[in-house]
Amino acid sequence: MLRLVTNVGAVALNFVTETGGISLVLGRMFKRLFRMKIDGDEFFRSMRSYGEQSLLIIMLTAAFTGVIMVLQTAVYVKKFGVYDLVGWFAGFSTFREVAPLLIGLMFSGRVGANNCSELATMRITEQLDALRILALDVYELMILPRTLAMVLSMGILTVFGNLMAVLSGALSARLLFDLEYNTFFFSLFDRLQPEDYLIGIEKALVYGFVVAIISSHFGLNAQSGSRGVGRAVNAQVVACAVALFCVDYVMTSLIR
Amino acid sequence: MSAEANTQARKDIPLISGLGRWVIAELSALRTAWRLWQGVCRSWRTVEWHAAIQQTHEVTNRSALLVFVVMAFTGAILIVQGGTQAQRIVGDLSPIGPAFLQLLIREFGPVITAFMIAARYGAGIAAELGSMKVTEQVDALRLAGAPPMSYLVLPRIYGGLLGMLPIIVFGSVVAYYAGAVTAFYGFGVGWDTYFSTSFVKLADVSVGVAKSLAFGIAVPLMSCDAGLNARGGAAGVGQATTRAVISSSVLVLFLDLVVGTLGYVLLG
Repeated sequence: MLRLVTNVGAVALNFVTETGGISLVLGRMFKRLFRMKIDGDEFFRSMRSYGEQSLLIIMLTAAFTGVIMVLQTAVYVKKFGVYDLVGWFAGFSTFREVAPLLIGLMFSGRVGANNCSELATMRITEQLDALRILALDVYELMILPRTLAMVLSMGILTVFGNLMAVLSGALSARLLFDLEYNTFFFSLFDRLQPEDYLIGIEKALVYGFVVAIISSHFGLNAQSGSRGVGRAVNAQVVACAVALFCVDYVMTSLIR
Repeated sequence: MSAEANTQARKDIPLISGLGRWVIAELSALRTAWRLWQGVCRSWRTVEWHAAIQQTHEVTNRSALLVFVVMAFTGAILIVQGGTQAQRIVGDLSPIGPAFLQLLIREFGPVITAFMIAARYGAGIAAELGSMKVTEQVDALRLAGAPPMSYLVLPRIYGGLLGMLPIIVFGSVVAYYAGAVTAFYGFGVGWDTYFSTSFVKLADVSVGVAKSLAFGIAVPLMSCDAGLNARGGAAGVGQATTRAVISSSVLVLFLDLVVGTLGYVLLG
């Protein structure tokens, strides 16, 4: 019983500590954002490296997602014969929910983890302190440009991912139950409004921001020692997952 | 092409060469994972049961909080999305509960839980085995006559196999109840209408269980592979952690596709 209370307390303390740290990163970043102090070179360099790191993996994920969503409708199509709803279901579930979320999870596992381990290595080898001695601001040099790059590249990656998901969905619907491409795309375009698509993109931009803040926080506050980097990356992935689902719920209930 | 020209070309088209390097790295990772899987098939009897039970505890009990929180959000999100769309297109909210239960058993319960297990347990395996490998403790084990396969890899795979199904079942229950609360307060769907199992067939349950078992093997396998192939210091351990999460997530999605297609074709 005492152990249970201790555990609950430890979890709560941990949560509060990390939330506080994340808000500190957020506040310091906004301070620089309003002064418009952004390192342009770092921004373009990060955009390119995020594309290199995650474009293929995200296209692959999205292609799988499209097929899986069509497979889910397959059961209902067989039962009720609603062939004209396949494109709608695949489209709205992918655009609004599944594609941004899965792409966000992959993005946090790839780009966020890389950012986190890089910052953690810098922290452990005291390069962050060296930067401070040189009167250079790590937020201005790295965190702010990377955050902007992550927000933008999440948006772009989600556009690509949505395209892949729809194409693979149409192909798999054709192969699984001989659905004409026309029927699939007609039900997609007819029943979905532009805002269904745009909500997904909005979500993706916010997820990019969340991943950037959380990965920077865990990287900047890594514990020293050889296990510190691994532990920081591990904590980053878990915290990103929880935060993404949490933000997703809030956004879903705010903007239907 | 000379080496110099090659370097020049790499500078000119960084994106394409970066993607190519990534493909090569992934394919070689797939090869080592396949070898590890062959090793597992060869010596699956030599498992250390005590360690396997410990790993099962790690998968289920210690990931429970994360999985429950995330699954509660998942349930609420899916009901809000489904309810909004159903109001707009079908105009009838009564099948939302049973349809959600079927979707949860067949698809979202196993996949989302497996993603969370990959993020927590898989990354943990990779960090642990990675730092053991980097500090040469794996070689020390082998010298001491304790094969890493039966002392490190097999317990984790058995742990995943035994632990994944229970945690997926409990996670899905949490999501189902969170969905019920959302449906009641958000859309006014009554409890009796919601808690109906009329859509769920034996085929759905079999597909869900098959997915759970497949994910239970896939996540620890890819993570052990990433950890055991870690190279070079603390940065290498960090890289192994990243690789474990990404490759187990992609394998989970791929197996989801394969098992889902097989289930649809064979069982309907």
